[in-house]
Amino acid sequence: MKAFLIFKKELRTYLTSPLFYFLAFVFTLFISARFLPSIYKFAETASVPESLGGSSNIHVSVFMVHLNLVYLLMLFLTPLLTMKLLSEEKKDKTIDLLLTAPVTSSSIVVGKFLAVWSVVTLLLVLALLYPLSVGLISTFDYAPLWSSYIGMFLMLGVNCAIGVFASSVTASSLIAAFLGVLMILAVMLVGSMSGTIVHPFWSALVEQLSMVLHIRDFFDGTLETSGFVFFISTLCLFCFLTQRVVESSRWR
Amino acid sequence: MIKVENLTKDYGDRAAIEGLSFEIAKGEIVGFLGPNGAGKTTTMKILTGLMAPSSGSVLIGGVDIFENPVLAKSKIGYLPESPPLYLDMKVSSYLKYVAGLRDVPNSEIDAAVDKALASLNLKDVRARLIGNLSKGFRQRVGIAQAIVSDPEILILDEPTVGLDPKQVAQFRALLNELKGKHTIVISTHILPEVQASCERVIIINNGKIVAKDSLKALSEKSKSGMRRVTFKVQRVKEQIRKDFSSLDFVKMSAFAGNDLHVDVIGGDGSLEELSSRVVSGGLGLLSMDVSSEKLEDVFIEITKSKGGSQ
Repeated sequence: MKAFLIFKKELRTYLTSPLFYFLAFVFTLFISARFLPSIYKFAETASVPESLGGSSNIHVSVFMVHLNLVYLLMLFLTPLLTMKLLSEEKKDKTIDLLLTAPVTSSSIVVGKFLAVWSVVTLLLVLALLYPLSVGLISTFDYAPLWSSYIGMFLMLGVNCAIGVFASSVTASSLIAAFLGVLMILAVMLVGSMSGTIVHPFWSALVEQLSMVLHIRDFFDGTLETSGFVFFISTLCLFCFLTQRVVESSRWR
Repeated sequence: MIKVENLTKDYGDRAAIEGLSFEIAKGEIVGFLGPNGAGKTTTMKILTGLMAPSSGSVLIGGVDIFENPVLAKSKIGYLPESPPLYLDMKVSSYLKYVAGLRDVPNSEIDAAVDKALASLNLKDVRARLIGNLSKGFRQRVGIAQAIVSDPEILILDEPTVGLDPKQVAQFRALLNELKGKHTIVISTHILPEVQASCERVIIINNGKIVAKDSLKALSEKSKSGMRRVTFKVQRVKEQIRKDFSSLDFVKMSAFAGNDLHVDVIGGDGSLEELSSRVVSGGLGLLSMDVSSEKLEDVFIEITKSKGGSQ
């Protein structure tokens, strides 16, 4: 219940802050600029046979291009949205209010995490409007589109959890944002190390830790249990770490 | 209501507070005094569960704040040194948020907020952003935040900082209103504050309790218990003053211009005797000022003599 109260307050703070609208503006500006040209290009090449470099798969040649851009932009936007969540409370000492109220640190973290995940999801819904609008003028197979967006939704959850964690360890929003980007990048890229590891067990393990590997499955239209388990457990791990950091402020 | 036992907090090898033990009964107003850096804020942070002690225990209404923090915290309203205000929120929505966090049932939140706004004269600014308010207003929003859930225990860390004299007077009136229903702990180094509203004081210095007693007992304990009475009079009559010397509770008397200074010991009976003599002697009494042994003196003496390494 308290988590819901904190969730509501944070959500309201986001939706009344210019930062969110500014970021939403920049976000849509970028994806609009990319989406229209790729649609035109697709229209030109759709009739060309595949052997000559044409493509008739709109998911691959338009939606995936769009999604990859969303993926890239979110790498920076999520930390910008999460950066203030806990660091500013620390800086302004408003965290004292939460820590002396009859609220558990888990509710604080869950409330804040869900708030930022909702806001980021709102941006994702904006991005989803683009492929959906194509549905108005033509027909295509929606299934891989849905699975891609489910994957993105889960991956952004992980990004948010990492961002909230980064925000909990410092009192400076700037450092929190920077740390957030670094950590998201690290989790994203750790899988690419797998090729350099000779031992088959460790190589497979590192590969499975890769966010890129799991999101690919979703993008390709396959919903795998391992993907869900990976994203949900990573997300929970970072929420748990954040809860420990918040709780530890009492012990210093 | 509040029971503190053997509380110690170390920062590295420096002890912020050492072996504090005290009890505060239900309905008491206690002043928590000490020079800067004595450990007042640290103690309050531990009382409210914001910080854990290195050793010792805190019972809030019989509940250990570290065993069952959520239950213990639901009994406390706390105003920290810097009021925890969200500058981008409006006063009323901020108070609603705090009331919700502090377990006020949904149906009673509006009434609780209205009451808190009224007791601190904040009704006019209820729709304004906290960030646009002046320091005095912010401090009052901070106090409103502490009382909005009508907690059994109020812990206020320097509540009158930044208030103008009129607001300080209003705050004292508010304390009087809350007296009896709530257990209140006020930390401050503004002594008149304590004299005006507290029944009991706990004085700490260098992390140790150097005195805990009622104000009266404290002044009596301190060196003399002497009070200086100054009468402002129309006419100077040396004979009346000389007659004072025969009274055994008068230690000294002298005229300085139209001011008659008398040092007395003993209770209010001696004051009554003096004033009736001045009036019946036809001096033309204009005003009478009793400067009892000031808390300042007690405070300085206690923090100097005991526990002082300086």
